[in-house]
Amino acid sequence: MKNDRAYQKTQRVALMGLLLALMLVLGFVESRLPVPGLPGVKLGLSNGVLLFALYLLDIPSAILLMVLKILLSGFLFGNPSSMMYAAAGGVLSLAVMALLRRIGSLDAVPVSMAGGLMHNVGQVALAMIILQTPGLLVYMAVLMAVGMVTGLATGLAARAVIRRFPAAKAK
Amino acid sequence: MKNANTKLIAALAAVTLLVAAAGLLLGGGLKPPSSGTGPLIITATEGLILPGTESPAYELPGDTAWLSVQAEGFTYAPVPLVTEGDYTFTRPDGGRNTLHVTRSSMRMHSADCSTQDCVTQGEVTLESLEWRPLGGQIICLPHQLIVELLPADGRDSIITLGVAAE
Repeated sequence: MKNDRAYQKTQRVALMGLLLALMLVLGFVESRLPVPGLPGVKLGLSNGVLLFALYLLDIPSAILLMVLKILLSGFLFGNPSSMMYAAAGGVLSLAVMALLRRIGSLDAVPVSMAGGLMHNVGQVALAMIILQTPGLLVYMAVLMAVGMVTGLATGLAARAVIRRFPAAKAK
Repeated sequence: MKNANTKLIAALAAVTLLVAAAGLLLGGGLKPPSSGTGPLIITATEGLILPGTESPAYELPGDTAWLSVQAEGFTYAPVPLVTEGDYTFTRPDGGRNTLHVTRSSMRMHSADCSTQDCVTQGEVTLESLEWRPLGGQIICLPHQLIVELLPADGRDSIITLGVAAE
């Protein structure tokens, strides 16, 4: 019964649903925790779940999770304008994490740090384009450092979970 | 393997520092004033100078800060903050920001944007220009509005303001 394709598909859908729900809850938590003095900074807590999805599942599934999370959290607790920035950050972050993931010798934690950093790069870069100003580069550097720190935290959490999942091996 | 991991983290840190250096070198990105009227409707408390207006000569104490306004890519000519009061910027689609200024500081008093980040960005004073992550700027992303506090030049002066570039 476990080899039945229909069963596996259903399992996959259920798992993705769980991961998506987790990402949405984390997204809600971080929307309630603004960083003082740094407008628009989100902690990127759900990045760890995305990284876990990259290890346990595959890239298309991770992409689907990211898209759904951005859409749903945008409608639930965000606003149309913030969705754009979340998309810019999410795409860049996921692309970098997926690429780095292929380097087998890399541990999950630095990959997560890179993802957190790129997430903020994407957001500030989009702001610079929309506002048509180069003046946000220093701000971007600050957010890059913050992204590395949050990436470290989420990476440690993700790694702890990955280790306990025999199915999630370095592909 | 430890080696690749350390290299990656070092690379990330290096890129961050590079971006910071580039940002410090490029500065605030103040652009010359654009010509034309600009997209915003700007009103202000009595006595304040509207960005981009033509006006007669002013006597300025040396510690007067200046205000630069940029909206949707259009740069208004900077104006001195000659008194305390409020500027209200209204976009064509009705989006509004109200900026409270004194002669040496500013803060976003209120806005009807969806994120309210501009309001929570706090106060910009001539002292805080140095250490604020955004420097002298308050940014309203949904309204594509950047207001920036520019330092006083320290000299008492009499100035004449004109429209557009000098």
